[in-house]
Amino acid sequence: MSATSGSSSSQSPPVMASIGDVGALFQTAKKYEELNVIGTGAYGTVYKARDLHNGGQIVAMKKVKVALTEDGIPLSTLREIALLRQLEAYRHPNIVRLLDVCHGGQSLERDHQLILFLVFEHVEQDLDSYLKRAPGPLSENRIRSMSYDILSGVDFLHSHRIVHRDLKPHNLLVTSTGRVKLADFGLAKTYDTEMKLTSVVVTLWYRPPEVLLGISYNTAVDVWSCACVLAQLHTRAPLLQADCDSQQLHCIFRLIGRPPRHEWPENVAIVADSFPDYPPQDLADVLPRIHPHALDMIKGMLVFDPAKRLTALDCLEHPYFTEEPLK
Amino acid sequence: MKDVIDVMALQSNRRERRLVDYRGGPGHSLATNFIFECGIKLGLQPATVATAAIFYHKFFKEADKNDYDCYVICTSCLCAAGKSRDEPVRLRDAVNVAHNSINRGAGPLELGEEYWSWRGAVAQAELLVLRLLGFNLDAPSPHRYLLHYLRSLQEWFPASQWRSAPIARTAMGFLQDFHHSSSILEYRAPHIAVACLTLALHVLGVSVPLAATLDDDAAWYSVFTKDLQKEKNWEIMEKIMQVYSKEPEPI
Repeated sequence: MSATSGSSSSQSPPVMASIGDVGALFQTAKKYEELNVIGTGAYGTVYKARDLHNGGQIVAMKKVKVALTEDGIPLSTLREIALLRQLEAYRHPNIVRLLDVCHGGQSLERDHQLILFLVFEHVEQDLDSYLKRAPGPLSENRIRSMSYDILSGVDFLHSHRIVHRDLKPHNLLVTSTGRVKLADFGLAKTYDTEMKLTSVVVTLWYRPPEVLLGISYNTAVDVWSCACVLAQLHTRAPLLQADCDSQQLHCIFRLIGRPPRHEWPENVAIVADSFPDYPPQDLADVLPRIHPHALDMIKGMLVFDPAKRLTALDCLEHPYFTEEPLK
Repeated sequence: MKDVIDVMALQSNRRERRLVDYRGGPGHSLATNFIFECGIKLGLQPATVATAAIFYHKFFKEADKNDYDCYVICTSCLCAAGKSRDEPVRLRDAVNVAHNSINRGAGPLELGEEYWSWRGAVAQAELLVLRLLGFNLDAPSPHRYLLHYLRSLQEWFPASQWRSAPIARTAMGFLQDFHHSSSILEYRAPHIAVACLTLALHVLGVSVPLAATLDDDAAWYSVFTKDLQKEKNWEIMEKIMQVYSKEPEPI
């Protein structure tokens, strides 16, 4: 320390000490009071907390561990968080508000790990519990408005070069007024490093075939997941339920039929013939009493070839949303 | 050889004198000079160096200048700016460049205590800078606006007139230099770009074709930005000119 301070400027010694003592600085400026754990997902723990500087407003704090590299905070993490901050400026109604980003100072030096807290607005329930609590089938209009909310949020993310990759009822939040907001996106790389550290089972029910087959993917993955969620709004039960990768693929092909060989992607470890030649099922049988436009749209979203799938924007412009309800 | 003027010695003499002594400058007076020098030495893009300067100004808008070592924070601002603009700097390079700029003529740091404490301080300071900025790293870049305005204006000028004066260079120079002043935080990016452009045109004595035919309350730059009044534009230009009055060693 002493050598450094001598070389940079005369009043350095106390200064350098204060930089080394970043942890203390954060602890004195206590802004949030932890209340209880909301959930422990694959990506880390989420706490319910009170914002002490904003009249005790309740917030959700997501704790993310970031491994520090030789050059400090990893570039990918930094850019992803900056992007989330940037998105926040648009205040999109279907995106959960990111209120603050802070880092906890505890284990900064010890194990080269940085603990980040992402502070989000707190929304009471997610779509999963909303559907479980619903006394009966949702009304036609409710389904339509929720579907629109979800697709608007997804389209917004896609227009900002963000692929959610893990859309499911658990990270779709339902506000007290019945609006849906997307959560848990944007930290793809940050979360990836984290995922290896936890043994929480990640649900596969909303994964598209290209992810299950382990090939490259793009924004179309979210459209597939959306379709599964939209179908679930109608039936209040997951559309495609299986408990491992290959079972999930069987499940998918039993519904949409095994794709013809010329559509089977190259560079895949699994060959098309490892699946029986399932004929496509009629989606109308799976989703009874569904609005014909909704049925048509979901069909367009559950297409094997990602390039032929509808985009989120296509969906928003689909007659299901643009035409007056027939009833 | 007695009567021959040793031009080379004179030049190198002059160059020696031009180099700023960062140890001698009081407080933070040379901070932005340091950022620009190190940024250039690290081979960073001008817009990235400018972003580092913005981070520096933002940081000390919140923090007390007496509490932190000026050059450690400057170095960490360069690292953070590099990452935020996808032009990462290796921590080791940053530390060596910073050390060498402060201690002119010293070689690269040995991998000893001094190196590690510098490195640790910069890495920690980077996290502190990020925290204080609240991870808001998206600095709205006036560079992009200026480039866009220059291209539009170029089409409007007769080619020979455009070539006769270094408008683009001068305007870009003003913009880069304006980052020495913390006043840059007070204005919106498009306004800053227009002010740099206007100042360049004034300095070079060039007027925008047909601008004289406009009404009194209209300005040629209203096609670029509608909400910039002439007074505001002058205010920014004055702030830009003030940068040159506090230059450490006028060349």
